[in-house]
This record gives sequence, structure tokens and C-alpha cells, in this order.
Amino acid sequence: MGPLKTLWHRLGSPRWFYGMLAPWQLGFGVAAIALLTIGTIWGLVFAPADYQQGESFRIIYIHVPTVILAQSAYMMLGVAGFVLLVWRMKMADVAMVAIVPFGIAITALGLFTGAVWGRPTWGTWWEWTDARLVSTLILLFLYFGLYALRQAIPNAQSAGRACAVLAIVGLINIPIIKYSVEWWTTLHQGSTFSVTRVSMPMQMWAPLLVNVIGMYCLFGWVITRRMRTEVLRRERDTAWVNELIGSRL
Amino acid sequence: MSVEAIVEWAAMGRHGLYVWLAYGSSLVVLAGLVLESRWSAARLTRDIEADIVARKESGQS
Repeated sequence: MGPLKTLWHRLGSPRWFYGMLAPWQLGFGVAAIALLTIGTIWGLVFAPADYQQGESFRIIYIHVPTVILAQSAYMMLGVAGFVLLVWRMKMADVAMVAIVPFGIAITALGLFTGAVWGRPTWGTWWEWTDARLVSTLILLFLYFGLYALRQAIPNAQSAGRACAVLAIVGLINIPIIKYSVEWWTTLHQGSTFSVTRVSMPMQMWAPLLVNVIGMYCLFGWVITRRMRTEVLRRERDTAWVNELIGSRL
Repeated sequence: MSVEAIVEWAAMGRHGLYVWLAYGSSLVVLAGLVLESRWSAARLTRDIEADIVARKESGQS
């Protein structure tokens, strides 16, 4: 049996999953604090101001990582939903439970920081004709929908499957957000990064990249803890949880 | 670094309100996410501990 297949089978064990996540949680926490501190100070103090936007440009060092993470988290939800529907893996459902509230908070933050950036840059907090703003708002509604759907269905298994279907269907919104600036005329500029080109000097994109990686680490930190908590909640009546918690008493 | 230079930097041109509003709200939300996950985990652990103690006191295994 190959190592990947072994890992796949082990993921079916809540006890192994709970223990396996502990060092990752710590590592993500340390990396998140370090990277976000460095990236934010770099962006606020040492990066040059934009020649057109001036100092308000510095908002992108927090806004862009936030919205990138909001979309990535939704893609992870879609993958977890697919795994749950196809392989019935319980840990995929645990991941979905952990990600949705985080997704709500981070998408709302992305929209808010975008509005705060838009006011001095575009002269408006919000523009209904901007496809990227509206499609990101739809992303927030999708997260809320997933949260509400789980609360509305009393049977946990049925709730998990229904959320998995909605998460997969909602994936259609991700390419719409990504390509909205190319498909429609919007206030938003094109992508700052792509595989073939970078539209900013290194002094400006380096702190942004540090904060993007830092934000992913923060996601890892919070989600691993939330997943471990969800595993404990579901397994609280089992012998291994009672041994684990009882040994601390 | 002089006080004037710090005040000038904090003013962010004419955009200090927007920059600090964005970073302040981000700090609140991100710290809130971390702390909420920590409190949820601690609350659940306390609940399970209370269950274990209650079972021990009632003589169950």
C-alpha cells in the first residue's frame, strides 16, 4: 500500500486525525504571526506609495490577501464537498463545518476593506455595476447559505450532503470572480499577479506576497483548531476522547 | 525618528482614516477568529471534563 493510500485510509480515523493536526496547528500559528507581522510592517512602513493612489494603496496589503483567501477557502469547501459525496469521508464534513464561519468572516472583511479602499481610490464605497464586487457579495451569500442550510436540517448526515451539493454548485462563482474584470467593464483593475507577469515592482509585491502566505497560515491555524474541536465534539462519548481529556484531570 | 515624522507617516497623506480603518478592522476580525476558535475549544474541553467528573462521582466507568 503506497503512502498516499495509507494516508487516505488514516484520514478515516478521527483519533489519528485529531493527533495529526496538533503540530500543524502550532506551526501554522507561529508562521501566521511572524509572516503577517513582517508583511504588514513592510507594507505600511517600507513599501513605496503608489504614484496614482498615494498612501491608500497600502490597504491592498490586507485587502488582497483577504479576498484571495475568501476564494481559496470556498474552493477547499468544494473539494471537501466532493470528497464527502464520493467517498463519504467524515473528516471532509468536519472540514466543511470548520471552514464556513471562517469564510463568512473573511469574505465580509474583504468586502469591507475593499469598500474602504474604493472610497479614496474610486470616490465610492460600493458600485453595483462592478461585476467583481457583486460576485464577491454572492460569495458571501453562498457562505451564509451553507451556514443556514446546516442549521436548518436536523439530521447531520443529510445536512452534510446538502451542504456538499451547495458547495460544489457554488464553485461556479469562483471563475466568475476571477475573470469578471476581463469579461465585463468594471472599476477593478486586472490581476496584479499572473504566471507570466507581475504588474508591480518588487518593493511593492514582496510584502503583498508575504501577507498572502501569512493569511494562508492564519487560515491553517484557525481551521486546524476548529477541525480538532469539531472532532472532539462528535467523538465526545468515545473511549479515546474520555481517556485523552480524563488524563489531564 | 522624530515625532513629526511619525505623525506624518500615521496621517498617510490624506488617507489615514481609510488606511487605519482597514487595518484596524482586519486586526479585530482576524484576532476574533483566532480567539473564538480558542475559546470554543476550551469550552468544549471543560464540558467534556465536567461530564467525566460527573460520571466518576455517580460511580460509572
